[in-house]
Amino acid sequence: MESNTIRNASNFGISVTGNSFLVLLGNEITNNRSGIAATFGAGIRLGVRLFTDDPTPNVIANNAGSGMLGGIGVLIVDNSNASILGGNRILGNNIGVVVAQSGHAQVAGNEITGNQIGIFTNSNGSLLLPFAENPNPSSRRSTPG
Amino acid sequence: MRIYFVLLLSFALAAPPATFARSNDDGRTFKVTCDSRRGALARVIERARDGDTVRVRGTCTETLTIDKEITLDGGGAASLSPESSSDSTITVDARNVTIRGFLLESFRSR
Repeated sequence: MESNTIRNASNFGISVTGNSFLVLLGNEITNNRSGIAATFGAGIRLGVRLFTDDPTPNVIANNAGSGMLGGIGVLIVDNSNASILGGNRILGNNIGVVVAQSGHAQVAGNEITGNQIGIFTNSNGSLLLPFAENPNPSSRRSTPG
Repeated sequence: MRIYFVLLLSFALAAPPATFARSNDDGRTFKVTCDSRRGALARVIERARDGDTVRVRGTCTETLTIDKEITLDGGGAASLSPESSSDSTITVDARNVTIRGFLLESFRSR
């Protein structure tokens, strides 16, 4: 998906599930209950075109709904995989990125600011931070699964 | 004269909501305007084949399932919202689907 504005969804702005794969480039995903969910073996790539150095950032902002799975910018769970989560602006969500329940994410070069928690891992969530460009290191939180 | 007018009007009303624009090696391009035409976009997607592009204008209130390898292009101005609050706006059930240039919003009660 490219250059879309996705807002005001009563649940997730974008849901990718069941071994599907989705590329998200240059979208604004704002003011949903939660922003993006990858579940049940889904794959996602956010913000970077393959074979080019230029990021095409998504803005994932102000997804701050309440209740179970509310207020999450990017949720990666159930053996789902974010092969690249790079170059995006993830702002003002309750939690910027959640990687849990055997989810995996490679996160680099994002602006992750103004979230109550920047990146949260739990329950065998696997997180690779290959570069140091993700700001807000103090807001990362990891708890045993 | 009145009969001609009635005939002309019936042809206009019966015309399909989409126009077939062009075809090339990369597939065909359809154009569709959604305003006040319920289900117009879904009907065009039904006609499309793998590799086709559907260019959309206007405000669409439809619940879409895309099960073909197509490009859906809203041109940065088209908007799409589902028909009920329990629906996803778009469900994609195919590889190599591109969706660009849309405002995707939740159900709007009327």
